[in-house]
Order: sequence, then C-alpha cells, then structure tokens
Amino acid sequence: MNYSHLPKIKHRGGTFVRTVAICAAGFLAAGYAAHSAQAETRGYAVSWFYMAAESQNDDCPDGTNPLSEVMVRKLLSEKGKTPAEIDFIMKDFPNNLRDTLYMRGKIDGKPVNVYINPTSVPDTNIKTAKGHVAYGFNLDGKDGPNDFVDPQTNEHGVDDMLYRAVGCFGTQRASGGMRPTYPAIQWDTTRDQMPAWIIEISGIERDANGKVKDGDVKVGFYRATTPVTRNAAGDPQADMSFTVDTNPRMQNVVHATIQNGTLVTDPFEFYLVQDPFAVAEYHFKQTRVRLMLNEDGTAKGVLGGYEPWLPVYESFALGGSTNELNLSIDTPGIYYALRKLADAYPDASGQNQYISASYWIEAVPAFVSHSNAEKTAGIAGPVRLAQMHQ
Amino acid sequence: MKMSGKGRGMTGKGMMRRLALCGAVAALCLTGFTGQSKADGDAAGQVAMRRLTQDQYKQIINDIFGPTVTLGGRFEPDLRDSGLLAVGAAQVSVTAAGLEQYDLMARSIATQVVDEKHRPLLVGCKPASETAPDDACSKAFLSKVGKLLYRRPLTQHELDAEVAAANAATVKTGSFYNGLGLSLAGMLEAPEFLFRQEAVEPDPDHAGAYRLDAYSKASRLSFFLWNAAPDPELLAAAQNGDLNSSSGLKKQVDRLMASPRLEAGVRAFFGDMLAFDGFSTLAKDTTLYPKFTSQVLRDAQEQTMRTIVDHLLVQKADYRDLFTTNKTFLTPLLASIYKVQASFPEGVQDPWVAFEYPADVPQAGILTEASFVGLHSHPGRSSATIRGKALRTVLLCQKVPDPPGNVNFNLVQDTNNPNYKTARQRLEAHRTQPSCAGCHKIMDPVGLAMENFDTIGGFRTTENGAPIDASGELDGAKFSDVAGLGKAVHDNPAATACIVNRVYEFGAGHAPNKSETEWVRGTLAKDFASGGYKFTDLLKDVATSDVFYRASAPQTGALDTPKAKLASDVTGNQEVQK
Repeated sequence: MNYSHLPKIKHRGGTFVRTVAICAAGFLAAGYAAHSAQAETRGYAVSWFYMAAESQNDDCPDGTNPLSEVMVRKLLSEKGKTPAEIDFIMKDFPNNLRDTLYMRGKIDGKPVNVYINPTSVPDTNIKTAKGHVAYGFNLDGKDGPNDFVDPQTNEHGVDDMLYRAVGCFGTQRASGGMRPTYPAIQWDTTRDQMPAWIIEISGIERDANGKVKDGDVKVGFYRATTPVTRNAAGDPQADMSFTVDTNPRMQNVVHATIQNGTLVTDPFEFYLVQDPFAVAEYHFKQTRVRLMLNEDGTAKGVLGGYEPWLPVYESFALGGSTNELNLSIDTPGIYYALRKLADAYPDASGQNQYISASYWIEAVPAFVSHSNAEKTAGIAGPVRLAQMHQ
Repeated sequence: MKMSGKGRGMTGKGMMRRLALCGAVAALCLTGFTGQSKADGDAAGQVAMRRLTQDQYKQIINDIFGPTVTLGGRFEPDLRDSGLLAVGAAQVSVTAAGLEQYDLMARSIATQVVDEKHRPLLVGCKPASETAPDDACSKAFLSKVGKLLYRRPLTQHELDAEVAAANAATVKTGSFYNGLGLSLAGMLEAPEFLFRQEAVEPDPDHAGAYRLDAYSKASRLSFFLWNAAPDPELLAAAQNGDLNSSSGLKKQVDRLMASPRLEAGVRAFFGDMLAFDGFSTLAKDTTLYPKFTSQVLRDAQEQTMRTIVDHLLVQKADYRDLFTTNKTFLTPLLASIYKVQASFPEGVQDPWVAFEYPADVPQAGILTEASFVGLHSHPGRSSATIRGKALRTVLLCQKVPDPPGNVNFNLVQDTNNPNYKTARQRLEAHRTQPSCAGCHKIMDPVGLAMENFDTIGGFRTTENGAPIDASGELDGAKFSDVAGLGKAVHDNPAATACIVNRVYEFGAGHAPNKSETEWVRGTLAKDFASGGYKFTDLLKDVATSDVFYRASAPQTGALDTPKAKLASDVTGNQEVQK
C-alpha cells in the first residue's frame, strides 16, 4: 500500500475511502444521485460555542458598565449606608455581600431574590452597545439603524441584538479572534460533562487538486452521547469517535452550500441541549450557519438566529451574586436590556420573545456515527428530524 | 501497631535481617550473583539468585494476604541484561536506600496483616493472651506464611528463630500481635523472600549431574508461567516429589497453563521483552502533540497486551501473525491517535473494544501500535533509527552497535531544514559520514518504513509537506510500506528464533549456555515451527523439559553456604510445616 496519494485528506488519513460508501448510500437514497461516489463525509466535535463579539473602541461611547465594586457602592448608598459604613463594608469586598445583592429586590415592600424576580428592582438602564460591527447574518432581510455589518463577509443588515444588550460589559467584549471572557468560561466549564455537540457534513466533493468543490452538502448538528475529552493542552481531543444521540430533538439536519471552502446553511430551526450552567437549551429560529472548513481538519464559523431571550437572562441569573461580584454583571439590568432589545416573535402583548444573536462555533475533526443510520440517511434540506418523525 | 525502630532494636532482629541481606548481596557481588560453578560451556543450566520484580512482589503479597493489604514505598530500579529484565534480575542487589524502602513496605504490610481488621482471617489463630507470647499460634502463623513467602517450608532453625523473635518482641511491646507483626516484617525483608534463590541437588536419573531441587523447580515454573510464587498446590507437588516425575510435572504445567493466571505470566514476559519499562520514563512534547496524555501512555501498553493475549492465548494463533494482524483493541483515545472510527459502549469509564482495522488503513500488527512506534521515538519527532534498532534488537534479537561517541547529529535533528524535509532525506545525508553508514544501513531501511507514524503513533502521509516514502528492506525482503515490513518480520526466521530464545531466557533467568542453546535452537525451535508457532505450545515445551530445570554442579564448598544449608535442611525432610 502506498498512502502518498492521500494528502488531500492528510488530516484524516484513511477516512476518505471509508466515507465514500457511507455518503454514497445516504445520498442515493435521498435522491442525491447526482453526487458522485467521490462524495466525502467529514465530522467535527464542537470545541467552543460562545457569543460572537467584535468589540470596537467606540461602540460603548459612554464607557462600559461599571465594575462590580462601583455597582455595589451605589447599591449600598441607595440602601442608606453612609460613606463610612460603605467603606467599612467594602474592606471585605467581594466577600460578605451576597445578601446585599441577591435580596435587593422588593415586592410589596419585602425583600426578594432579585435573580428570580428581576423586575423587583427598577431598570438600571445599563449601557448597551451602539456600534455597527458584528458577526452574523441579516436574519430579517432588512437593514435598519440597529443592524450591523459583518466584518468577515461585509454583509449588511446583520441582526445581533444580543451583542447590543450585553456588549458593554467588559466580560462580554472581545475582538481580534479572542473569546469574550464570560461566555468562554461558561462553555469551558460545562463541556467536560455535557454530551458533545457534533457536526456532520456529507456530500463534500473535491477537485483534482484536493480542493473542496463548490456545491450542495447536507449538514447535521447533533448532540453526541458522550462529552469531549480534553487533550494535553486542555482543548478537545481531535479525531475522537462520537455516536449521535438517538433522541430526534438532538438532531438538526439542513441543506447547505459550499462556496470557496465556506459552508453556508439554508435557514433552519436549531435546537440542542447544552448545560444549565450556561444555557440549558439553545433554540434558534431562522438559524443560519457559516463554517469555514480548514484544511487541517478544523472548522470555525458563525451561527446566527433568533433565540428566546429569557433563557439567556437565566444563564446570567444562575450565577447570582457570584457573577455580579466577580464578573461585574448587573443581572436585572441585563433582564431589562434583553427585554427591550428583543426583536422577534412577539407574544400577544406585543413583547418580543426572541432576540437576534450570533455565536462563534469552533470545531475539531471527529468521527460521527449513527446508532440507527437509516434515521438520518437521505434526509436533506432544512428539515429537522424531529419534524420528519412527527 | 507501630513498628518503630525501638521495636526492631529490642529484638535485634531487624538489624540481623539487614546484615543477612547485605551479607548475601555482598557475597553475590563477588560471585556474579549467579552461583554457577563453571563457565558458559557447562552442560547444565545456571542457577541464579534473582531479585523479585515489582510485579512479582506485589503479586505475592496479594496472593498471600489479599487485595485489602496495600503497599507503599518504591522499588529499586530493575536492570535489563541480554534483552530482558528477567535476566538482569540475577545481576542486581539491594542498595541501602532500597533496603529502607523494603523495610518500610515490610513493616506496613505486617502492620496491616495483624491489625484488628485483618487478623481474624489472616493470622488464623488466637493467642491465649493478647499480651503474652504464644508459641503455638506464632508457630502456626509463621510456618504457614513463611512457606509461602520463602517458596519452601522453613527449616526448624528458621522457624524457631522467627518464633523467638516474635516472643521477644511481644514481651517488649506487651502485644502478641505487635510481636507477630515484627517477626513477619523481618521475613518480608529477608533475602529468602526478596530473592528467588535456587538450590540444586544431585540428579538421581543422571549420575554426576545436578538439577534444581523440587521447591526451586516449583518456583521457576510458577514465576515462568504466572509471574508469581508457587501456590500451595504446587508447593505440595514439590514436597511430595510429584514435580520430579515427568507425569507430575506435566500435570502441574497443565494446571498452571489452564489457569486464568497464565495471562499474568504472558503479560510479564511480553512487557519485559518489549521493554515496556521504558514507558515509565517516556515523554512527548505535548505542545507539538497535544493528543498525548498519560492516559494514552497507559492505553498504548494495554492495547498491545490485549492484542497479544487475545492473539496468543485466546485465539491460539500463529505468533508471527502478531506483526500482520488487523485485529486489536482500542480505547476512544487510541482511536483518536490512529484516526480511526470506532464505537464504544456508553457509560463505561475507559472502555475497551475489540477492533478490526479496515483494509484501507495502514495499521496492522503490533509494529504499528503506539506502544512500539511511540516508545521508540524522540519526544518531539519520530526516529527511524531508534525504531529500526528496536525492531532488530527487541523483535529479532540481533545486535546493533552503539553509535560512536563523536557523531554529529545536527543534520538528523534539524527537522526544519528545507533541504531535508523528511527523515529519509535527513538520514541519507547523515549516512554520507562513513562512521555512521555501517550501522544505519541495518537500522534505517527498517525504521523508515514506520515513518508514516509520528512520534505518538498518529498516521501521516507527509512530513514538512513532502510525501513520506515508507519503502524499505529487511534482510533481503523488500517492501513498500509498513504493512510490507510487518510481513517481512512475519517471514523472517530471526523473529521466531528470537521469541524462542527470549522465552527460555525469561524462565531460566539467564541466556542459554552452550548445551541449552543446542536444545533451544534445535528441538524447541523446531517443535515451535512444526506446531504452527503456537505460543502456548512453546511455553509448555519449555516448562515440561528437563533442560529447563537442569543445574550445573555446585561450586566446591558451596553446599556449606548458609543458602545451601537451608536447601539441605529442606530437602533433608527437616521441614516443619506441611
């Protein structure tokens, strides 16, 4: 055997031939007979998923939201503490302030847990991002004053009101390919125990030089049955084998198009369970994903869509006073901001229930197997398996 | 119970043990530790005094006292000689620091054995008073345990001394169990326990010849097949003389080989032969190879062990097929290293699954496993030379000279040189130095065939963007890739000759001398071949042979040594415990 003819897929030595048969079977069954027997399937494990941010120096013109020490001093002052008393209390900052923070809500004059009852305090009108640079997609087809321009694609009308809502908190800001602190902490903390998110792209074709050809592919976003395993650097181990969770609600399959090595999906509905420490369930409507398929086997891209804003609030509230003190988060302030800036799917009262958002996806190569292959074989287009089996 | 220095000092027993051990070791230093009387050309095999390996020590303690008695401390490093630690075990002594560790372990074990939790089961008898000596109980316990520790019954003299030591310590400490524990601790650091001492006796079937005595025979057999001390049944067979008959020996060999414990012996042999002790110091540059973790290191060894055990013991397949088989066992981490897809059971910590490499992947045989290509590589890059040398020395038992002291490795080590992108190119340039060319000619054509595997065993087709040429040649057999290399090793007579020789050495504890070599290379090798290279047949042939237990004549005066005296006591039916 001479393997020197395989540099096209050097990152996954030997997978090419095996995937041919798998892909061919699936696509022929789905009427994808036009795809030749050279079609390739590539699998990925999501290594990072976090709120996208490309913070600009001027997108918080009034400055970022205050650090927790300032916020606490203000709270104590509003509670009637004298400057001397505040100084005394703050000597032990951030210790012994839990009760001050979490029981600061008032309902009928009685103190209540502000994280459970965020409207029990007045809106602090946190500072929100005013810039016009953000990753994502023009989800509603309009280009309004609140919309952004994607610095990667130059797409205008990008909808990402989540960044507007929280983009002036220091721990939510990042630029130049860096991950914002708190979203990164959330993902990093949960990924050791949460079943991995995995991506499977089938129908990839290559030209004679090994370059990925433009064309149609099928993309599956799944939850696996096992978590990622960390390598010596603390990152997810590449090339691990994963099995797709048979629960159809953990399976999202969509048609996508590859152009110049970048994959863009059709709009679809995305649903995956994550972990209560971050967001218990991610649910996006009108989702679109853009993924750059790198030759080293990794992938990186952006997911954009409308997600319910209340679970986003809950992801901040879950951390309670710890978050507020250590990450300088004004939790009820975020509640009000999300509610005000939510931009889709209103309820009967007219209050929008969803907010546009963009997330970065980073993925390492992986092997994806289906314990019940026929469930996914041949399904194409923006159709979730959950819907297929209804 | 605390076994302090005070306790040991009170009886003087600890000091006596140390002196005995150090004395024994010193004597061995002068005689080369083997006790053989004649030169290598002797017609019979050498008898040896081999230090217990870590695994053997642990196994013996586990067998006698059970898994709830735990060990602490460190063991002395082992020594590899003639390609095996089993042979090096006859060349090592106990350093002062090592003795301290043995002492710590001995006292820890003894303390646990006689503590309130274990004593009902492990001591077995109850003293009339827990604060006074009790000869009967001490004697019952010490003779029972002593027989298992020393792999032979204690002589009356030994037992009397042990009981006396226990009694004296009981009086001093006011506790029967403390006293008993101190005596047990002394036995656990005695040379009779720490060293496998073989005794010889005249062979009644061959006038003027010698053989191992029955207990030494039992030990050699048990450590060979189980990597453990003889169990009570084997000791009984030694005691009643069964082991000295062909049928009795065969019956015990059959019993030992039918036991699941044979796997431990096979693992010990291959762990030794494949130099897996090197894993204890193996390091990889995790900046370059982040997939390499300590778990991968453990999995890599276990993969090969499982492959070997399944292939040789379960499937009873041809030994040579170990170099070509596409069947192995994987964990999720190993599958990621090899970049193959596998299914693993859910909810199982560190799952192992049987795996068959697809036809289109390069992995096949143990040469392509991380335990070989990873173990024989540099931390940050592969090494065709080290791998080639390992293949020849470890698997073919060939000798490869060490490099001369003034070699300039710069060219080989510079993996960033744009003129020499692949290891083949770098080595070709390096070989232009005449002093290097000779040895590299026998290592590189073999090692370069494994260049499709990086330093941790991950598959690659290029190095620095240049395609890897994995073609090569082994003793005249040419091939185009590592699968061809596996086939070449499979077909190479040196591979089977090597395993036959290594198995004999492992069991006997020494390289075969002239007469042994004739039998090993002749009858044993031929039977191995005619039987289809079944490894279990090879073990059985060795274990049931006369050659394996033959001994050279003792040195003049050797029978007067304490060691020989003890053996004489035992074989003279002066034993006190049956």
